[in-house]
Amino acid sequence: MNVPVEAFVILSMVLFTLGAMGVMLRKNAILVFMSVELMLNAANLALVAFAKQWNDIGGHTFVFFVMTVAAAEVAIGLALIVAIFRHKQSINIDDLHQMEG
Amino acid sequence: MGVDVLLFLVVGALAVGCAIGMLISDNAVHSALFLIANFGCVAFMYLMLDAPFIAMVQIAVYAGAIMVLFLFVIMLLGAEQSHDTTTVTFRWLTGAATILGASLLFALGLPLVIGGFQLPETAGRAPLLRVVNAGVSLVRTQEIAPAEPAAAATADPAATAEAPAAAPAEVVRFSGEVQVTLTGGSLSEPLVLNNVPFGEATDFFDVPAGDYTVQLLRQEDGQIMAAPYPLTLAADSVTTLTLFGEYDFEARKLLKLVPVANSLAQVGNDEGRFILFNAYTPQTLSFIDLGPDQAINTTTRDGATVLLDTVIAADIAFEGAPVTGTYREGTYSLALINSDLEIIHRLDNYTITADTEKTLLLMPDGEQPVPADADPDSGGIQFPAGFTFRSTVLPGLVFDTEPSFGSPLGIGRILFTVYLLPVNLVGLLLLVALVGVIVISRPSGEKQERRANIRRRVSRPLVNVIAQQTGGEVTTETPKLGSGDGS
Amino acid sequence: MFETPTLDTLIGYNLNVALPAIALALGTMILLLVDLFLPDERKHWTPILALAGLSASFVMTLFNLNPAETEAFGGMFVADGFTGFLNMVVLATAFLTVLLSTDYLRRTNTQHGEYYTLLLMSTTGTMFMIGANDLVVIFVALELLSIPLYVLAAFRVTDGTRQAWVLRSEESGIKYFILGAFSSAFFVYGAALLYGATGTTNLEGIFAAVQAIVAGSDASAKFLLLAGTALALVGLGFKVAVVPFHTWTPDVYEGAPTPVTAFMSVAAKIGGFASLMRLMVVGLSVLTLAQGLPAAWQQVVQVIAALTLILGNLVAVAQTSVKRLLAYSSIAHAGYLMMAVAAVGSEAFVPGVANAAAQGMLVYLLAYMFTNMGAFAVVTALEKDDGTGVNLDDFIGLYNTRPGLAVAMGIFALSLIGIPLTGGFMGKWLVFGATVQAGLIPLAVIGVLTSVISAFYYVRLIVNMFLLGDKDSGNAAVGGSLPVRATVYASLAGVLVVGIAVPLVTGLVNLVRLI
Repeated sequence: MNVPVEAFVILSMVLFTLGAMGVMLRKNAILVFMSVELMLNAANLALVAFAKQWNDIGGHTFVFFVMTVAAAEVAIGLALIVAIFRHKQSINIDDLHQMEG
Repeated sequence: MGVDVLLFLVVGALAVGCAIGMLISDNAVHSALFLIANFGCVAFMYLMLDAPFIAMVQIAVYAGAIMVLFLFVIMLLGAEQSHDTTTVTFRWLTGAATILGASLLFALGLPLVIGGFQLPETAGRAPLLRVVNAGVSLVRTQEIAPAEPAAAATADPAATAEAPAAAPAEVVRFSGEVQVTLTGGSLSEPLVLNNVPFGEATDFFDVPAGDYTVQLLRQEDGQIMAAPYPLTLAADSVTTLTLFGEYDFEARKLLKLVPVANSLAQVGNDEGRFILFNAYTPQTLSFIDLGPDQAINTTTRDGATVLLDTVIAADIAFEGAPVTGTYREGTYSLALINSDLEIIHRLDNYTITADTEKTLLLMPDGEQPVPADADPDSGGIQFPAGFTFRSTVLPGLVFDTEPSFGSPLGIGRILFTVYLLPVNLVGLLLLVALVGVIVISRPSGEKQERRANIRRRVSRPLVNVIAQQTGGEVTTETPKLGSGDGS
Repeated sequence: MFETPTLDTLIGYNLNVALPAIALALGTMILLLVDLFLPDERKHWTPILALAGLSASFVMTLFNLNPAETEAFGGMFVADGFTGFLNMVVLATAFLTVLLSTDYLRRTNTQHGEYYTLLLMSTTGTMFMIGANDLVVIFVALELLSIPLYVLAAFRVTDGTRQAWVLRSEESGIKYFILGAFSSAFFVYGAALLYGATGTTNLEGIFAAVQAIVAGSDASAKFLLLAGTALALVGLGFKVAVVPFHTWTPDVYEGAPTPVTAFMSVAAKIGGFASLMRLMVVGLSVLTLAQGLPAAWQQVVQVIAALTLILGNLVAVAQTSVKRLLAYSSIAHAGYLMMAVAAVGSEAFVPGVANAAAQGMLVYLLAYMFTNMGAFAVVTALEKDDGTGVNLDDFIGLYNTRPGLAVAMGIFALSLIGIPLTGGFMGKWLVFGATVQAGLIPLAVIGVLTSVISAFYYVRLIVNMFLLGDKDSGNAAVGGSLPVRATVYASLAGVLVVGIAVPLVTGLVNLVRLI
């Protein structure tokens, strides 16, 4: 394997940053959430890369847990988004300004 | 540039490109598809990082379950039609966010840049050790009384040694338990393993790397069973300490245990292991693979005859310590040869199975009934007179290797032992998600009425049904398929 | 057959010290099932069973306060005095929340048994987060703490109507969810970098590895550690609402149902600060840039604490809604707790300050719990069914109609300021003491000054209640049912006991040692 592990970590940093920017910039709630998933994915990639570096399978198990937690979060998040859509017919987070002050 | 590097660059660029595409795409469905492609690229990265299980879980859970759920909700809400004025307009927020993103990348990347793109040196994983109490004995009485029946090796680990006084050689079990003590290395106090029963192996456990002395005592009365045995454990190694025994038939007691360390547990999954005893002939034997021509191949080099065939295990001395060897799985012609390169015994069509350990006992023949647990895989060979080649897989001595890195077995094992608490917490979390989703999405109030309504209008288009379920209005401009307007 | 852990292995995991949390988890699942099968006329048994479960867990915690062997689950969970104390605080929080919720749910037409299940699950998550000794457990317990709160914040959507307050509840649920998911992604990446730098996720393993890295000369490893710490701080900082990660707090606190807000404001802080404290003390207290310096992260934490104190207190002055006022006040209190975390950084050259800061944090959290639960209980009493009626003006003349509630709220306000003889004073005294002991004098000065500033908006509340209003006007406090009043007076008792019985409290926390 000629590819150094650092390369994977750099790739994961780039993906993480892209995800963070997506959360800050997008207005559609579902797209914001997809950007969060991208961030979690980037963290997973970093974990697997470090697991290879340290030859420790604990990194893989951490990834396993992150994936399961992400699945649970997705379920709840999409349920919340559907619930708010029912009432407001819009999932633009700029419209969530009932409370100001 | 190696193929690996090229592949990494291509797939990495694809991953980043898909992520950017997800960010700037107007259509939510396109964004979801870009994200799926990104997940696929990351799964490929996992394969490059020796994580096959995680790669498959990524495809199955992330791309297969989570993104499907996303797409479902996007289509349900008609979100692909939403006009999402995002990064294309130049607002101050875009600039600020870009600056934040760039600074985040800088802050994250700084360690690697400063460190010269080198991750920290790793000390290697702590060595793993396990103890196997095999207790198999090379039994030899002082005289060989001919033709007297002898008890065979029993399969019952709890049985004490039977006393066929005239048995030339046989396998005897030591029924007691052994206490193993490790001293030395960097241990502040000796590591003691109590009650290692016969025929069992302990689990692998972590021991700090270093030089140790192993002492073996009989559990019940503390009698010393063997001379102190030196053992060196290096980082990242996997060591199995097998305890064999020497039994004095006449005195009817186990003389001593002979520990033998081997690193066989670290073999790849496609190899089988052998442990060979020689109690048959005073010659030193070697165990070789004859190769496709099923004959010994030799050549002469510098006046000496050199063996060309692959040697699986060498120096199997008469009544000496057991010798170990590994060989990849398959069907071969194997042979035992002596130091004059003569075949003592050959095994044709011998099948080696991956991940098993066979103990081969070379013993003189007697009128011995074949024991019940004998492995009838000699392949129908005719034994020469006076020789019995008994390949016995002693029950309890077939071990799994340490699972290879990233394999499902390895992850599964560790999930049930070390990571038991997080597994349970994740289970609770999934239950919470289940309850939460139902609570949020459950239609409240006019439950009964809605159900009755639906039953009557089964033939209405699905969109109308869904819209009614969610309480929304049905827009008249539903996108027509194939209209090609890109939305 | 796959070799699952044998009984020996399980006993070796020392499960009995984690029994309070495990028992609560089991109790929650049983509660879910029982609630499913309860007939409609007996649905009021659900909160009673929830209270029973919480009490059972509390009793188990009492028996487990100082076990001989504190490690459980192979090093993943630790059950020392710190865990035991905070377990009791969290269980008391949940107990009081259940008391507050019974009537509130009925009034707002959102009475569902799953509410209690979700609440107890969040409590379980907090309890595991308090005792977590491993990054993996911190993360999973953090999610177990947060995800039920996302649902509970949006709980008014189960009402089915489309009133304005339902929309606010939904919005608060979504905002909390998106920012919570964002922050846990930061935490996971921080944990990944820490794992990459040290090779282990166990906090004690990280401690050993950090010592080795600091003593060595590997610069990239040090920076990986710093980056990991920073990201983990960001992730946990969102949870406890410190500046600049506080923006979600006012909206979410205002929109969520009031008992849920009460629970959120206390439990999330307990869980977040407990993990943060343990991470910083056990894992990273030796993370210095050179020998003899304070921990590298101390400066940043100081700045965060100072900003939080200033912003939380200043913006609170301008609030008119009491719920938002309490939200900003809880941001400010997160700042005081952050001071304790900053104080830990000086452990290297002021030995013992980490334990002093931890003890200060424990007392502060105890007092804060009673105060906040009491204040939100009074707000629940005053809140109308549609969620309005909790502006500062609605408190005018409360002393005339409900003198008991008014006096209680007054004392809670005094405790939030930090007036002596109240629990809040004890907490602030110990935290300020630890900060001074750590040598962070400017931060302590800021803390005292902002406490004085906070008096402004609390005193305005007291003035409204006692001095303004005619003889007969004043809020009817429609929500003041028996459980709510019981919560108010129990919290009042708690605040006064913590404030007055000083030797008792200090004696209890002196047994706590983090390192």
